[in-house]
Amino acid sequence: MSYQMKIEAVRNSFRAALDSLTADSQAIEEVRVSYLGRKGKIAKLFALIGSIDSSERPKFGQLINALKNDCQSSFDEKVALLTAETKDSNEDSLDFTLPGAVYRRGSLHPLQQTMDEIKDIFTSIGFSVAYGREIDDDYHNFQALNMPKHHPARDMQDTFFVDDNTVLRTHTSNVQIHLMEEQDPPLRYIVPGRVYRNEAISFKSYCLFHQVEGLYIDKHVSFSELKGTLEYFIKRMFDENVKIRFRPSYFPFTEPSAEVDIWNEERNQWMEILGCGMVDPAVFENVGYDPEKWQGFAFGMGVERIAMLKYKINDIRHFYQGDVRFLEQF
Amino acid sequence: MQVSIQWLKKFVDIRETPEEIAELLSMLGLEAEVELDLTGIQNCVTATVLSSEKHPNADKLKLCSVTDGDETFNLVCGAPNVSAGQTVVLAKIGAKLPGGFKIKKAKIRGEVSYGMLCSERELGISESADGIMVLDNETPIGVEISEILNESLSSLEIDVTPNRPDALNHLGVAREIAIKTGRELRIPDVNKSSPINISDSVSVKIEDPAGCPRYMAGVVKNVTVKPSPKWMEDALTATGMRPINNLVDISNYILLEMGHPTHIFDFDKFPAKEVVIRRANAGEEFVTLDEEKRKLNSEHLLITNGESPVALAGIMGGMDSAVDDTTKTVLIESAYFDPITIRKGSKALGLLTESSRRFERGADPNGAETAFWRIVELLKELAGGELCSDIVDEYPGKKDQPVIRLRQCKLNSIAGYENSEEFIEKNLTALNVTIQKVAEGEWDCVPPSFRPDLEREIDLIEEFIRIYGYDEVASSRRYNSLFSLEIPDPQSKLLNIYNTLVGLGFRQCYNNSLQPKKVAESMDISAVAVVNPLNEQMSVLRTSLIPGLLHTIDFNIKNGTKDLRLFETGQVHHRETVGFDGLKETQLLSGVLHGLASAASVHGDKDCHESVYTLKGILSALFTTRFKLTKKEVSGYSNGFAVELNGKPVGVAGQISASYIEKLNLDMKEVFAFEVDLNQLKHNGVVFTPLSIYPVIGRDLNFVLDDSLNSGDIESVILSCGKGLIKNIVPTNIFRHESIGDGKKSVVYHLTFQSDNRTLEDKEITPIIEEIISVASSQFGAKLRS
Repeated sequence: MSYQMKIEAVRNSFRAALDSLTADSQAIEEVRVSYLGRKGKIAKLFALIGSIDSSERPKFGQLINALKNDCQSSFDEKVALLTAETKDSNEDSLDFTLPGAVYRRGSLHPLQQTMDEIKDIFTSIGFSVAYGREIDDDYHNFQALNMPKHHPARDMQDTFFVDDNTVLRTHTSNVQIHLMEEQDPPLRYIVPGRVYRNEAISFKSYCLFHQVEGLYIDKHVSFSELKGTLEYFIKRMFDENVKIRFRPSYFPFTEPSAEVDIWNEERNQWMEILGCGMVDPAVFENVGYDPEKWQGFAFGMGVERIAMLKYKINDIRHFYQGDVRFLEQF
Repeated sequence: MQVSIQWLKKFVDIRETPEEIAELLSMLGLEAEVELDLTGIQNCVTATVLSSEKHPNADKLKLCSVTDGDETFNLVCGAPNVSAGQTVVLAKIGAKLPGGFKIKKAKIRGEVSYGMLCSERELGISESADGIMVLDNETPIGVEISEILNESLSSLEIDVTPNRPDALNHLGVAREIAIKTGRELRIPDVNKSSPINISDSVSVKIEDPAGCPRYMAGVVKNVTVKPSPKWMEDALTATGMRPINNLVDISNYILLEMGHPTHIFDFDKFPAKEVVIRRANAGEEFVTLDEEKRKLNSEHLLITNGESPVALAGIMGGMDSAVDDTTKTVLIESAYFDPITIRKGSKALGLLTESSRRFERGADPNGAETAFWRIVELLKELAGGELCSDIVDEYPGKKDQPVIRLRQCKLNSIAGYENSEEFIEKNLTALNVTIQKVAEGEWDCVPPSFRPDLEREIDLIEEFIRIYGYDEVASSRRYNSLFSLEIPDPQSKLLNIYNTLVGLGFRQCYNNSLQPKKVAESMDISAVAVVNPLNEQMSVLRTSLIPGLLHTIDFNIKNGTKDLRLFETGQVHHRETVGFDGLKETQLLSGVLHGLASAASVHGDKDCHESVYTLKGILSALFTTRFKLTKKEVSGYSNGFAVELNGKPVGVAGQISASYIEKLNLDMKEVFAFEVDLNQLKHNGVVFTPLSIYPVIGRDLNFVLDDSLNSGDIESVILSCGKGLIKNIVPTNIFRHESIGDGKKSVVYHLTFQSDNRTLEDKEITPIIEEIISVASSQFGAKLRS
């Protein structure tokens, strides 16, 4: 092999080493030592001078010097490049104020969140959850709940009719009847769902809303337990220190009946949040339960109303518009 | 119902403030609010106007001098009705008016005004702002107006529930206060007088005793029609009723005093001296007092004079027999009408009156008599009328009051606390219930006829808890044990799906279920219609969640957000056949995608538009189990797919067609959507697959295929050659270039091999690869790219 070829072989292997060089300082040093070091491959080429014809020696010297300079400069260049790259990811040059990669997050609707919270509270005290149909017959929505046709209490709920005998349910209480028809007591359920009222749409009323109905029937269920249960629910839903009052009211399907208010400090007034009462014996008779043997309580609350109080929402229509500027707040 | 506090005081002592009475009544079940309370008004005194002259610098203003007896005040007044000698209300400097309004010294057009004369509106008494309030000249001056007026005008607004007709009057409300406070109830005396001189007679014939169980009538002559005395006018005004004349006012006064509606006819306008109560003929017409011509149906009950109708029974009297300024002889009607008949009649005409409201909730049949005699008495006192006929009292529907057995043990069991015998007996008496003790802790009870809501033991039980006070009942946090095998919430598993969607950037929507028919039927499904919709825009129930979501996209684009992922879950309905059983309800989960899935960023990311592939990716993330898309014609979609989950069809997905968007009159670009039946998604429990401990071996295969070939077709063939050792196969690169050939593509598949029971070696894998290459070549003409 001629000395020219030997020089070129070193050059090639140096280039290959440089190409595969990474920003690993140890590797950089190894390449430097093995090529450019005092005992490196280039230095060793100088040792060949003895075996070279004296007429060729000046040329040989020039070639080796050129190699050495080339290698040194490409080595320096490469090292500069590599250390610069390293610097880029150093803390000094990282701009934390740039936005991160964008991951768009969605959100559950506030009504879903409120409904889930209500379900969680009641399932934690032994209530099961049942669901039922939104279109039902007059019997299950009204008559079985002690509201015969032409009962003045029907005025309390403006109804959408599908035909004379079929309605869009005005409350989830229809499910109460279905449950009791299908099961023997004791039972303890809540029933969430969508209900409909034929009311003009405004900031405070909509043609539909969501309700959670509750029903607990056993041998000795009392008004006192009804109070304890709902107080527990309200305190968990709102605040342990919320002021609550039970006020006598009237529903055809419960007796005694009550409306429950919580005190709203901001508005300086009581706000009604749910209706409840002891299941009326007439309802038991309608589903074939013996009212002498069984007692129970029932309650119903509007999910919208609770969500509006909880999140201080002032217009019920926000819930149904799907405005992402509203949705993204929850 | 508006109730005057002063009126209540006639029947029961009240020491509480209006606020406290409202609270007490609310806690008894008569939800009350203070309607008018003047106690907040300060420094507003009665005063006399000494002089009133034109303002030198303003045509419409006057300079007045008024005195409160001690001092004289000069002020500027803009009221047209002010004149010297009037007794008026002076708001002095520093006075506080309703709404926090304060009176200050003011210079008006160069004249200093030391106070203000008040109108009724400024005092919060009424809406009247026509001029200043002028008081009776006998009113003492220098007295705070709240002291003078609060007494006579302060009132409560009570929301009476439908079961309590007895509380729709002052005596009834006073009774509740008396029961709760233990104070005495002063019931007005009823003087039954006999006619001194019988000059007239009336006969009463009830043709429909079911509709009219009782009808009392009597004739009073020589009445003088004139305004009512001030005490009666004040009483009516305080309840929001306008005084008319003594005859009309007397009937209204008794209605508000003890709740029984009566009617006073001008008897001289009766051609025959008889009253016939009958059902109307279908289509019969009748002009009511409000001068409306009413078309009746055969369920309406009519009072007639034998020839023509004179009143729509229990609802409203007629024009023809109405009292007027010349009335001399009147016929008093005090009757009891059947609640359902009155309710149906009132509903059919959309005519709700003070009278119908009381009859439809159940008036007191015995109250008819009391009311009758009170009217006779007041007609004599206020109109000089003399009873001049025998009293007719037709009472074909007389019913005995129910006897209710009340048990202390049942009361205690429902209440959840002990009620003493003493408490029970004391309150039964206060409620006017007649009792007979039949055993220890048991009574037979006969409720008063003015409480039609007391029919059963539970009705009495409610009374005790109500009177005891709901707030007094101790709360119990203890249940009898109740265990159920059932899953507490069958839909709780769906929350996983909702949360996955939220993680994928979806916002949940709740859209209206009521839609226009053309929207609900836009996907060619027969919708369920509502017969009495609010309007045409909300006349049927939705058949799909997609139109609602598309509208929500449209709404948000208009509000500046166009990159949207939205989802909704909810019930939809459709009609399969006529009748109740033909109404079908399904619970759906639907999602829509619009705009960019992700936007270009400073980090070098490029805009990525939502597409069928982002849609498919979302479905893969959502349904962790194997799902399959199959091309399908779907109404509303241009690129439609059927979605199968575990081999079962669960819904559809794809791109919404431009023509469908246009059909809904919406304006948006590409929308991708899915809609699945939620009930199909409640997947079964997970069964664990043991993990293989043997190494994974990867191989890449690069095929050149016809461009028309679906990647999935090749994948299934590759899998079938794998002898169960291919764990996964995924295309990692697709390349199209003229160097590969026209209509060709090169696809790189990455195959993962693994065995559950041994380390795989090349000699096992190589024959599989060869088999794949040969089958791909024979079935699809696929060639390995070199």
